[in-house]
Amino acid sequence: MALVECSTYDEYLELKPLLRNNILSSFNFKLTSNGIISNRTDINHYDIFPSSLGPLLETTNTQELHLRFTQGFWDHEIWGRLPFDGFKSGGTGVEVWANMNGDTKDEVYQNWIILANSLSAFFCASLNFIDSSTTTFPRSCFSSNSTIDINNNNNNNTSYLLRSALPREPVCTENLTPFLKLLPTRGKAGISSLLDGHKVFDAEWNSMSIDIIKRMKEDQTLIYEMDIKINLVVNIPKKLSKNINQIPKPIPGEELRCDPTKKSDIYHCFPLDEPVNYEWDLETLFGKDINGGIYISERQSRVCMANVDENYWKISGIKKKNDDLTFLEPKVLTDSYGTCFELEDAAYNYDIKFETSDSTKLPPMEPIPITVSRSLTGYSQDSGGFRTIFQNPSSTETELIYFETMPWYMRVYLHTMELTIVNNINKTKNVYHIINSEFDEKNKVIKNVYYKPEKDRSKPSHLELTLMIPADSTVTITYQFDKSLLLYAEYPPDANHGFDIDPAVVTVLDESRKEVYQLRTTSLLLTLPTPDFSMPYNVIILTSTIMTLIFGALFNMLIKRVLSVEEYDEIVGQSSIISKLKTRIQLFKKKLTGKTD
Amino acid sequence: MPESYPEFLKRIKVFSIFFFYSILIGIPIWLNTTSIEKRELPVNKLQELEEAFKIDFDIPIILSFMGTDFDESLINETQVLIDEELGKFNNGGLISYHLQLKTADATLEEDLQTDEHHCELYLEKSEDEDRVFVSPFTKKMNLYVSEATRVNGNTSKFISNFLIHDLFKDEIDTLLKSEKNFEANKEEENFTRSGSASESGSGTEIDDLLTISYSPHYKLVFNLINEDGVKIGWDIEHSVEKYFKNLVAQLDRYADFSIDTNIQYYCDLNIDESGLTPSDNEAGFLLTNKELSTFINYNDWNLNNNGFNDYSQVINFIVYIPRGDRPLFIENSKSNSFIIPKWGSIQLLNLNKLKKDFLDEVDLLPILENFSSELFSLLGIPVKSASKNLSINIEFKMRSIIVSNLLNTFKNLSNLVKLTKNLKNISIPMETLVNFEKSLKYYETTIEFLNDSKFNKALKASSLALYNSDQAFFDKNMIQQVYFPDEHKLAVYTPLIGPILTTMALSLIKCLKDFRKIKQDIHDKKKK
Repeated sequence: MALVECSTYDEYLELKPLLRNNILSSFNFKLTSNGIISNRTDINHYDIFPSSLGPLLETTNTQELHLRFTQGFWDHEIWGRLPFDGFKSGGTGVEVWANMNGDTKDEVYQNWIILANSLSAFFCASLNFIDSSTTTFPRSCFSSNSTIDINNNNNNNTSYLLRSALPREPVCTENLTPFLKLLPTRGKAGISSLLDGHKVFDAEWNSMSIDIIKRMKEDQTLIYEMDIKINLVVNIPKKLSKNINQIPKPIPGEELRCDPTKKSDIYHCFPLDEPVNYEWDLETLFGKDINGGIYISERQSRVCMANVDENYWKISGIKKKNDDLTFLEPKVLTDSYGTCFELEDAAYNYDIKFETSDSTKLPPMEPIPITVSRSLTGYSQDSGGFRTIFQNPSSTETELIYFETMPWYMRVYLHTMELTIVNNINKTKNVYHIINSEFDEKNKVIKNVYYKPEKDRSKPSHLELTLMIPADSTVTITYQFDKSLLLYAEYPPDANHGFDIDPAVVTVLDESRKEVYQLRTTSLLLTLPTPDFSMPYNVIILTSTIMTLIFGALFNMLIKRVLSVEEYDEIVGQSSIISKLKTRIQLFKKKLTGKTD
Repeated sequence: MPESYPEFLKRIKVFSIFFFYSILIGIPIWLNTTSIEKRELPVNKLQELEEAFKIDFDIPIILSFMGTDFDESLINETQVLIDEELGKFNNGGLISYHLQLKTADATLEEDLQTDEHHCELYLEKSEDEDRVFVSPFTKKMNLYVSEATRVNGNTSKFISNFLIHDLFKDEIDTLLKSEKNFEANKEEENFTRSGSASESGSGTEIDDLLTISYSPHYKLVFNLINEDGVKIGWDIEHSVEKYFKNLVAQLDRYADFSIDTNIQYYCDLNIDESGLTPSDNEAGFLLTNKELSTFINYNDWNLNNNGFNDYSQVINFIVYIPRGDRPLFIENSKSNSFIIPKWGSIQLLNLNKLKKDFLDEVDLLPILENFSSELFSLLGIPVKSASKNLSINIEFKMRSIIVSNLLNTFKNLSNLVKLTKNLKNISIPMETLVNFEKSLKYYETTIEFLNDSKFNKALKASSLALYNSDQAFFDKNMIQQVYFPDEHKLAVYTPLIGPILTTMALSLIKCLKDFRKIKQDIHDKKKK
């Protein structure tokens, strides 16, 4: 066994201004491990790659692991395409999928649970809630990137892709610390020193991703490649005002920016648009500057800014130690866009300053291939429906894979699926029902349907559609479902809040069926009929009372003597004091009136 | 008109049917459906086993004679002596200990192929005085017997003295102690129910505090930890191969070991720098005991690599490199290292003198030597004992672990039984029962293996027994939340039980009254 020293580390920060004074910062960390030896008796050497993850991946036989922690809403109308074409950002909450090897599905599933539980402890997230009722085996929406040919690698193992999502998980500061712990710098130097939980989760949108892939190198050694990305969109005016005053306060009257062309006095003010000239630096965005460069990587860590119009934008890098300030030389690197600043010295702090006279002067936004919106329809407690609208703004038809999982308590009726195709130019409208016998021939939109129905308490329903969205048109897919009642103990705390439904995943393919873009819809909130949780007491007490009432009535009826009226009178006449009294009274009455008789 | 007797009988029949259904069928059903799951633990079996608890150690000692100065009768003679000596120890206690002397013959050789515990003694004539030579590598020991001893017929005494008061002394002492502790605990259970710590139970020594609890799997992690971010490498691969692979191979019977190495950067110390005392003879600072207790920043350093791997116990070895401009020294430590009990060992390495960014085999040699001796202290395998022979010491450790595993299994199980007896509301789920039974089964197999002198298998079985008893004791379902506590049950069901019982009681009274009346009537009629 020979030690393969091939671990590498590389980090860079990319900044890209977006419309309406937003800035997208994406932190990229790339790690590769030394050669991995699966054999237990041999020694594994870790340096850059975290030693905490390696053994876990080995014991669970994981070839690929992908984790996404996302919070916020990506506003594609203003911000354009998702960073990295959406392949590095998940839907709201936590999403995890992994490619695992094993002989049987059960074995792989057992490993998957071990993996989820360990990751849960590692990332301080509720990944331990992953069980068979949230796990799916996706078919085509998530492509495998692993280059290991399973068949020639080791025995007859089969590879399985498992996926689960927890849309309810609040991604929060405690989730960032484990991310930083995976880095060899652990947030103490280099660009990761900018990351601070309070600032990252204060962003408009943030997404943290981890992709680990086991890869075979040319020399037949197996290594892990890990790609950590943290993307966030920060609104600059908001940040600037927050830095001045933590608690938002109304702007004093004299500082209001009113439209001079309209009426303006102390009572009237037609506000102007936001200003476009701003000045800020990294410290404004992250609360601190970069704590020096790093020595452990082959390449210097660097900060790159997307190309912008130099007439309106001025960007300068500053290197400082105590009061000693020097400006950095901007560089153009072949493998990064825009201008870059290299952080060469560990002893200095670095900061980047931005000045803009017109922040709207940005390169044109790249068009997005498709927009998808999904919503719940219906208002009743026992049934509802899904409506998903695909809009193709381009003038070419677009092929995509639509992946959706629904929890078992939504009983989907796929036969109610209805397809509406509206051409946005000539406004023609076609409606197709799936039960119609001509559905397959007439609609050219749904190419392929894969559906695996749910199983109570153990499996979610899993729907994968291959769709061809015609040019310039809107396709609406609807279908209905029933809501089922859960068992008493199955309701989560605060059940009246509703149940979150995973975002659907849409993967856009190009002509050669290569994946070019991926996006996720928002998560949905489903309200289920929720019982009153003091119910068990009430039910027990109420039924008990009713049972006793019935019992009492029945019992008394059966156990008591049945008498005719005459018999009763006879008995009463013999014994009762009251009846004696009655006869006395009657006698007395007779005495009073007896004279006339 | 009074009620006729047959009519009354009908009423009594109706009443008894109601009584039968509600009291004899209804109440048991109600109790059964609303009770918590309580499986019957095999308490009697545990008691039986506990009473019959006896561990027999039978260790074969193979005696070979070099030369013709000794005859076979020596064996019987020595055996008698040994039995006599050990008789004091085996005096009706839980653990009995036997050393069986055997001659080296061909059939025995085959038995020993299984690599079970034994010792080989070679008797030889000595020219001067009685001497013992213990080989550090094999299980062979040479006894040199002087002429004087031989002539006086003291050879057998010499052998038995060597075995009991030298070679196996530590083991006998340890076993005796754990036996005493166990009996003391048992007595304590019987007499004092209060939870006060007893004096006899706290007989733990420094060794016990240091030792990592036994596990069938250990993981050794060698960490090179750098205070700052200066790139560094080490030739750990070859060094570990050279100095540790061999050790680990020898420890193979004891447990299996896996090795990982790891380099980390930017690991700050959790100490107040201004409070450090400067070192006397060298440029640098001294770390006192106070600083060492908080030396490791568990929160910040990535040392949490246990837990993923099948219940392995992790033993950490850390080489810590302080910042170049601030060398650190440990007060009163020549090797500049210290042990964290039950966790691992730390070595400080100031690189300012070495001026390099790669540690080669020569640099690592003294460090790894230190680590290897500390590995034994952490495992609790005695190195300072009378015999320097590693494999005999490992065997000794294995036997004492079998004893402590079995004793702890009993402790766990009897505590579980006690717990379920004291807490009426605790549920005993199926899993607990299964683990309980498994644990007893493994206990029995351990005893079987011990009777066959198969110590390696006995060790595995005994650790499984302990593991299962732990699982039984710590089953989380035992303290599951019930919707309402058991003592509220009657209150919740009062609306049902109260009225039914009162109506029935009242009608019973009424029936009795009527019965008396009827009897009176019949009596009166007869009189008439």
